[in-house]
Amino acid sequence: MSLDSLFEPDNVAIIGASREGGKVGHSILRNFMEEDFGGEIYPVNPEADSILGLRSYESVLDIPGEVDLGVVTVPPTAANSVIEEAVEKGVNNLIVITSGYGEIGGEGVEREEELEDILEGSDTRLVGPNCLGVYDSFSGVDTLFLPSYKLKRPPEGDIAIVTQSGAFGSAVMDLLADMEVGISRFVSYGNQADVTETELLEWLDQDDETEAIAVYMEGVSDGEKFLEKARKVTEDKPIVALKGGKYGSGREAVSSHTGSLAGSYEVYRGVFSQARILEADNIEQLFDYSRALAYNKPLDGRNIAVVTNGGGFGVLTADALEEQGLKLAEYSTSTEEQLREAVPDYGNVENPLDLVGDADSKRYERSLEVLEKDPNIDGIIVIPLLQPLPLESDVIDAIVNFNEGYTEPLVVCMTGGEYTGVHAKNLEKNEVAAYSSPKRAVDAMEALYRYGDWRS
Amino acid sequence: METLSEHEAMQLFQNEGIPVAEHRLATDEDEAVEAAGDIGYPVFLKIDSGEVQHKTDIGAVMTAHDEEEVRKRFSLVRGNVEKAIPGADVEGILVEEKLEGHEMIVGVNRDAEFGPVIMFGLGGIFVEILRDVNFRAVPIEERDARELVEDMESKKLLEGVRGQEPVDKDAIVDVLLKVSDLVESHPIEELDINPLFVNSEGAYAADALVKMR
Repeated sequence: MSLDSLFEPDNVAIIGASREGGKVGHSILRNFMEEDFGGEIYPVNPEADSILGLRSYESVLDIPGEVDLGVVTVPPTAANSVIEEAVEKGVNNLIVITSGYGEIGGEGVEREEELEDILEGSDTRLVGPNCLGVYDSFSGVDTLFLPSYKLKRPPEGDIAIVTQSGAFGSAVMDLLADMEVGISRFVSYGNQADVTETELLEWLDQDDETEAIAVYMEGVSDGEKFLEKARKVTEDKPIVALKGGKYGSGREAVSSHTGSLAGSYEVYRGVFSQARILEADNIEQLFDYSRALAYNKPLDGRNIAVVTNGGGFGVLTADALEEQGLKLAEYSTSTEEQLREAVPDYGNVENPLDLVGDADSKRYERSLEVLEKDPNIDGIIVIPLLQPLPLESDVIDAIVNFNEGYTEPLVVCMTGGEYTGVHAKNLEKNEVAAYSSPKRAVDAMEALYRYGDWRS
Repeated sequence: METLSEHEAMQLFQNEGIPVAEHRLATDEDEAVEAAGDIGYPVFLKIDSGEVQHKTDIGAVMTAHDEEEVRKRFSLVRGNVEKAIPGADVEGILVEEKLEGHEMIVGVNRDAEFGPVIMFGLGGIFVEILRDVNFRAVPIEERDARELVEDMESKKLLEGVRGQEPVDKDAIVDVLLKVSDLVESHPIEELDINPLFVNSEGAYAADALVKMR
């Protein structure tokens, strides 16, 4: 059975829906009612006739017709029996939010084994247990039980998020929403009693809404399968991964040199390379890379043009390019000539192109139009510093307009405070990746280059 | 788990087409002298035993520059092993060619999540300090083998510094692919080739530790 109903179900049963505000089963029911979820919603609660004005069912078995998605929020002691009913009903996909399974050891391990037995031989596919579940910005599926004033939902966009940790997932969702970064689908997959991270990656591979996949993982369900499938996914779409638990202890004593060097993280790094997965060092980098890759095609070459109104930023960017093995593009002769017309005599027609402190948005616009035509340039880093008076908000429109017609990668670096931050969000809304420092912008370009180089 | 003696391991490598340092197993001094004469001085004298894993640490590897040294050190090596590991099961003394080149390491280990993995990087006695090594899951393709070589921090060493000729990277790639094949076709638990000598002519296994499952 496919995983389509996790993201785009025709209807949903909230098994454990509650009348009491603050309860998980209440929050999730509310989410579905408040989002633009187009399908039928069935609360399931044996003690209620109706919840929030919807007719409630005693059991999922009482719901007329097929059930596409079931969300299980009941306590651990009751969970397996309602899951058994859902399997009997033939529910396509289940999301089990309930915790108290393998992650607690002891009786939880037994409970998870029992759950696996229930699923065996059935067509029902299950995400979780012990997870936050799914948020889909397009369909309105939202099983995140945290309220939106504490966990803002990101807008529609191109980045999919797959996370082993629910806490990681909820924090970054709120962060991305604040940055105006759009996401397509979000899955917190928990214990992987059934559906694995690898299957989710495969589903996202064929998902038209997703351009790049950001993953947080601590371990894999099946290493060999993960490698085999992930390398197929990355032939179509970039995966950026942040690995948690790099320095696990408790390794057995080993006698060979190889054994003593083969920490789990060292092996992961190798496997990520093998699968063409870009590894991120931290949360910022996970989304720095993902944004660049979601909004741009990969870089075809190393030659980067830098345009700024702040000389020092040109210098820092040039240094960062050198450190990352990228290059300042050498302009063709005609580019130099045309730039001389676009830039005042006291400006510098070199790369980095210094438009100087009195540059306005027109000067950016004219220069970018010249650079666009130069075949020696593989990508552009634009650095509009907003502190000088002559550079106004319309430079954002100029960059966005230019980028719409520009076919090569373009990223922006804008360093500053609140005023700059507001403008960065406007870029992000228009799918232009903005970074707060030259290093971050260049690192993102390097990711675009590496991914392009891998695929060539 | 059974650890092969170096001689057995070398045989396994040769069967797979992995180039090895020229070597011969000698059971007495005369055989050792004859082998050294054929191979050419200087030579290594190494204890050949599956029970001795860190040979250098206990004086079970020595260099000999002439016949007299071969005779003297033959019994010295045996004596050192007898002292360190009394009653160790010894096949004999391996007389081995002393190669020139950079010392690299090739290894195989079993990872709990990814199964057999192959490692390549800077070898020699500082391998655990410099940690300039990279891993890939087995089986590897040529692309992976090439990246194992190119991903090394100190790969400039291989490209020829201070007038040295660049090493034969293709030969390294070939060894890595063959080790990957070896792991696919044999029940190998752990493997160390340290060092793999690399120079402009090729890449040669000059020491081997192989543990079968």
